[in-house]
Amino acid sequence: MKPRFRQSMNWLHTWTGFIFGWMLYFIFVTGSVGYFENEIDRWMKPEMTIVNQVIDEQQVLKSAEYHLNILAADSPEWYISFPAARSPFIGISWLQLANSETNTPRAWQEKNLNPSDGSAVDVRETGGGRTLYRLHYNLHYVPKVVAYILTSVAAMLMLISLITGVIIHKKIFIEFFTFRSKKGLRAWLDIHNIFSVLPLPFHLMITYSGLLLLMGISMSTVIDTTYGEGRKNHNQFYKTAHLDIKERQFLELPPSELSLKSVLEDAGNRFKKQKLSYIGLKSRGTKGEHYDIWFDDFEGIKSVSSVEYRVKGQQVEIEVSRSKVGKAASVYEFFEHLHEGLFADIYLRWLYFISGLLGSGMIATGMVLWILKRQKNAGKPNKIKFVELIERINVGIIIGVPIAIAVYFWSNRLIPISQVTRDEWEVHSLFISLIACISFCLIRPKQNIWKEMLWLAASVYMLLPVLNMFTTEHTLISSIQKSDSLMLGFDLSMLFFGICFAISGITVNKKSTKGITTNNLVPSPN
Amino acid sequence: MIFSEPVLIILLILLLMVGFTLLSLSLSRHYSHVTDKRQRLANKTKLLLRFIGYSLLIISAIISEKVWGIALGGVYWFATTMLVATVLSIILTYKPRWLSFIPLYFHR
Repeated sequence: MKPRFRQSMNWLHTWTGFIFGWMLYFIFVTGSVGYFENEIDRWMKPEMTIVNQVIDEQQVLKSAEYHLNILAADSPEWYISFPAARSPFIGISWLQLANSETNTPRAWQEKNLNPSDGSAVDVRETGGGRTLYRLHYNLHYVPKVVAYILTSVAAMLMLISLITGVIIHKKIFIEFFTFRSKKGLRAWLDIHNIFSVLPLPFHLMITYSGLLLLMGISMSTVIDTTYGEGRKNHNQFYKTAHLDIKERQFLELPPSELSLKSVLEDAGNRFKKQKLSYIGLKSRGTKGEHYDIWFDDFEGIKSVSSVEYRVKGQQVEIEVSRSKVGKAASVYEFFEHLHEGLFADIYLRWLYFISGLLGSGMIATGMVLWILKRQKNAGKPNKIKFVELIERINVGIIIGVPIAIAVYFWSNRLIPISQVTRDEWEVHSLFISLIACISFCLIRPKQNIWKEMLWLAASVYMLLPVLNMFTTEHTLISSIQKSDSLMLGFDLSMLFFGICFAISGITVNKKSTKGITTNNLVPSPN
Repeated sequence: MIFSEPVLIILLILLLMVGFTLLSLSLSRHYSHVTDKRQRLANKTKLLLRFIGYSLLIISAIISEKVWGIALGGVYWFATTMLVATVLSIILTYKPRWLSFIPLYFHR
């Protein structure tokens, strides 16, 4: 490889990484958290009752319908969700239409059903795990389209960083497994290599698929020229491109008997091996009223993902969507499934999550390396000041983002349930604490910031199970007794992360005046 | 399949672990860390280690495809290689002596 080429790849790697480094770190952390979105939801809605035993689906349907008839009499869309592996709850939700007389806005409402007595439980207003993970592409405080464009550009630069990183990481097969950790710059480079090279398949997949998922925005001009501008034309494109291959069949059932009950029965008989996830009643009360059924199995080229029941003419028709018409749409869907990992079992899910965290670590160590290299070649005092500023903000973000996420969880327990906009304030507190962390790092003495931030992170995570215990009836013991594995898993994971931060805080060498260069984060082997 | 899924996952991990370990030992840098400095990596040993190593990787890929299909099987295979490579690099960095029994076996 020519030295000039390698140098320019090095330059490109450094600067594409630098431009959106902080935002990409935020995206990777919040995205990784998303692989446990359901589990986080469970913790953030502690009022929900766990369904541990086998339930009678028809019985559940009956009590769900009972509540929906009272609460959602005018609603055009009803959904009833059944217990699934990662969401062992019974829930009802409906679209509440805007009503100018009673001043109610258009909103989705949901309630949790208690399986033992069929009663409806009020669940606190919260963004939950879903909002947290959506931050990784919707960002916040900006219009969605702006966020998509920013995220898309960041992903493109990420891809360039990855590929240039592979190019400059020569000696792939001599160094693949060698990560000699010594002190100083070399140690940080070694860690950066571990975090980058070992999960490389994941990094390439997640970045490329992420770009694909946003291609509708980043390449929207292509749709403009072929279908025309504007939302309506773009929707037409999506409808055509993502057309499903549908199998249709008429049922023996008379149209008058088409109801939630009969749909549930027919679907259960037809798809015996599939576990029911949702049943939905859409366009309720109109001529186009139809029923949707979803199953728990998402990926799987051969499994059914959605089924529709509707009245056509004098008969009831069932429409099963199996796969896409277009090959391009199939490829897109494959990458979408890979990115979202909805198909993943517990083993793959933890690997997805850990790979995401390693990716965050890759970005973080990259940012640290940028600082170290510039400290080594320190020159004019202006430049030194600038590098120090970046260094401080670095720490604020690298440890601050995890702290902010923990604060999001704290706010879920501390903001009063009666507060109307509590879901918005949960997210506000995430960003307020992030700003606070960065500000903290800007004012504290430079040699202390890593240690203090790590201890802050340790406390805020380790105390979460304690907070849970004091603000709800869920303690570690009670979760074990009730077999509430999601609640228990969350509490224990928070404890584990807190301990990891504490260990890091202990091993950070406070005495180093050079800040992080003589950091003992990775002890050298014998 | 005859075995349950957790068992198959463990099998995949074991096959890939052994495969990658043998492959890493076929590199002289790692071989010398794991053994005494006196033992040099003979050409015959190197080829044998690489042959068995790659074979195990290929076998594990075929098993993965048979059990889960090409798409999901690919995900399991790549995910497990990442896991195994990470664990192996930690062992090679901090506790290379744990692997010292392998060159001894090959030298007999």
